Amino acid sequence: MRRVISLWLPRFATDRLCRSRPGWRDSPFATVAAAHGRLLVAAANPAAEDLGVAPGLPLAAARAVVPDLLTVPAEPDADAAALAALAAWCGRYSPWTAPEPASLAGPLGGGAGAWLEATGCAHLFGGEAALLDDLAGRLRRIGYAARAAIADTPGAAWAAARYGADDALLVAPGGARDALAALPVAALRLPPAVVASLEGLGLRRIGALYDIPRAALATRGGAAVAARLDAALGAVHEPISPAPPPAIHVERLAFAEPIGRTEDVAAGLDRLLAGLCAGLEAAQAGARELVLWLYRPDGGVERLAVGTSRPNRAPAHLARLFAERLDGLDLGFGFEAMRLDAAVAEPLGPVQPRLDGNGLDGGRRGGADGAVTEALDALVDRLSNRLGADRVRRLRPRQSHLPERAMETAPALRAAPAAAGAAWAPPGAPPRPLRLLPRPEPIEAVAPVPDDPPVMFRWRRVVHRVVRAEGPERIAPEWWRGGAPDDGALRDYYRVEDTAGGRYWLYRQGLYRDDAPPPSWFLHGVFG
Amino acid sequence: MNIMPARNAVMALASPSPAAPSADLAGLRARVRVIEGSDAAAHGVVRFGVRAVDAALPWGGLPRGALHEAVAMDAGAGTGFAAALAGRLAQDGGGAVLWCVRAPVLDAGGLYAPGLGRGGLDPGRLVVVHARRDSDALWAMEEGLRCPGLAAVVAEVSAAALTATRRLQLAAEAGGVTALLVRPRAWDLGPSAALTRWRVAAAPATGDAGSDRGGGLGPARWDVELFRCRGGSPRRWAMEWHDETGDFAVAAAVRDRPAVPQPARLAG
Repeated sequence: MRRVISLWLPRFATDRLCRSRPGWRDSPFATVAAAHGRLLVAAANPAAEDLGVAPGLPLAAARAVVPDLLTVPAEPDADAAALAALAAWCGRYSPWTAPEPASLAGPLGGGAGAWLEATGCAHLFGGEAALLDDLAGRLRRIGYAARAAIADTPGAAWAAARYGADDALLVAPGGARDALAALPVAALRLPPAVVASLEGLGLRRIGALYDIPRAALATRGGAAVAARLDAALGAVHEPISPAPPPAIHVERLAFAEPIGRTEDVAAGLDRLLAGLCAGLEAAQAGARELVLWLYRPDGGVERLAVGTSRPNRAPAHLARLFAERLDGLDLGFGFEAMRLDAAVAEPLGPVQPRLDGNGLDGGRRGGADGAVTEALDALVDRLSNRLGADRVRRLRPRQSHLPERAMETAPALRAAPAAAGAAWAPPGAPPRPLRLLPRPEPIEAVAPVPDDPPVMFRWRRVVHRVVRAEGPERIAPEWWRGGAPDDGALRDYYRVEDTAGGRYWLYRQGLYRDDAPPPSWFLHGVFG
Repeated sequence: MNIMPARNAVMALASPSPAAPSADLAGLRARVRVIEGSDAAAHGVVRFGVRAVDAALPWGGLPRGALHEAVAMDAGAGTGFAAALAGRLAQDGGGAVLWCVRAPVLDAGGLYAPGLGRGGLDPGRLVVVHARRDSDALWAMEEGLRCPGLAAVVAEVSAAALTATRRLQLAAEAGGVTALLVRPRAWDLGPSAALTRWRVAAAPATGDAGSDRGGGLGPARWDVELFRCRGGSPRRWAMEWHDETGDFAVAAAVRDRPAVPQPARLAG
């Protein structure tokens, strides 16, 4: 039996601004937006509405009514971001939450909503009524006026939250039809024009729509009316697309008092990991990415994510990966709830532990080789999670003649090592340097024209005299790729050794020509 | 440590027993090494393959499961020496090699895989860590030393304090993974707990220098100095690396380090 909570924050825009300006809560103020070349009131707080300022009123008229009206430009982007953050905070109740897209303006200007898919969540909070009270109460404490209703379908919950009476916020399973019958037609999330036409026909309550044949409804009000009615009554399934996508394996822990010490957070995390890994083992899966959500009492949310290179369900290893992140956490006033998701989980068969209890016996590959691979994966996990996944890399060959493109690096967390017999350099090519500069550095070189290696060159303000050299090796740009970085000029590479014994890889870009300026020389790499 | 057997062995040696004096002497030397704590060959050794070098090291080769330090007077020479050693360690024992690169230390660019193969190290075995600070590189090295899946860990750091090197040495002994610290040339090389400390510089090749511009360069050549070795005396060699065969060679006779430290060496 599906249960959906619809959360309505009737004065979201003004409440959000009042949270940072507490002194304005009692004075009349409104947000202003430009529309059709005029400035209109977008949202107004209760004090202003009492004095007659309503959303949609031109600003000039509003100021005429209330001369000392405080105004702030409307910030729809900031409102959307704050609503997304609030929907993330609602994740403490259900892992499947979504902000309601603000596509319905009109009489509910300044309001916002959110959805929570609450199927099976109510028992964790002591029942649906307790859940709704807790949700609305916490939001009120944070500073938002809120109304939450729960029903079988999103449509019914939406209608009950906005138009239902205070004691009818909990629509019993199967009671959507009766609950909706008494609500006005606007509760079906219809555009104002359609609502006006339905009311013109005398259909003021949703109950009146039940008996009208669908064809007649479609001609009078459009297809939307029938669709919304079916969705609200549950005849058609209306999904809520969650943001972020919900995880299948979730563990949750709530505290009576907010905890504010890192050791306590670590202890809570250990408990969550024990439960989560047991769940993963039962499902024969391992986690590739874990996300820890920490909920603050003031509506803020912290998110910590770790990733592993192979599916893993060892609590000790995962706790160690999190330990690095917990050190840098901003504790603030503490956290009152924690949630651990296995955001990405992959199948992982049963693994046999060794008889002496130290580690695992071979894993997927069997034998000592498997244990070694496992240890290396664990090392890569630890290094990647502490230093960053893009700082721990493996080298792989790439088919290219250009030296800087002949090798690619891939994050070790996601990449497999290169095959054992891979060809790293073109066969028969002259030796390549041990270290390659990220960008070839320009040097000044003296070389006999046209093809001889340089006699002397200056690199980083040090003059090197060349004692012996090998080359040239001509590397032409890859014409099939187009847009070569050095204007399609070819390179003649030389391996040179200077008087001190250092060996360098230089190249001359282009050829000596009578009519062109002399080509430039660059140093690309250093030999061993 | 059991001192009694050593004393007995000494007393036995004092009363001449012609039966097997060399065996007693070897046994006594082994006990002395254990007491001194320089019996670091518990995890085996990796040989250079050159008799002159291997004989100079008291373990008959470079001990595994220990910390070694190499001061790279030139970026290329230092990288080449480290890559050849790491490649040998990986080949003999199997396993991956962790290399912590820090851009400012050697300042010659990143590791280039097509060149590492000829340098003795299979690039497929390599896991490269880009560290921003010395502390990150040393932490990564210590983590790598505790991982049984590695053959060697190489880290480029600008400086390492004595306590850090001691920690690394203990971690290497515990895990059996060989550690190699590569440092740039410096005026003040402080004390270190490394078993062996090397100084590697590029050396010009002998032969027809200057006359033959078009001739090949020949094998890479380094001026390798073992300036501190626990249980051994300092030595210096002109070593070559033959990339076709993957072998070291000593191009000149072994020269003992002079007793008086030459100021020229301090100047690098």
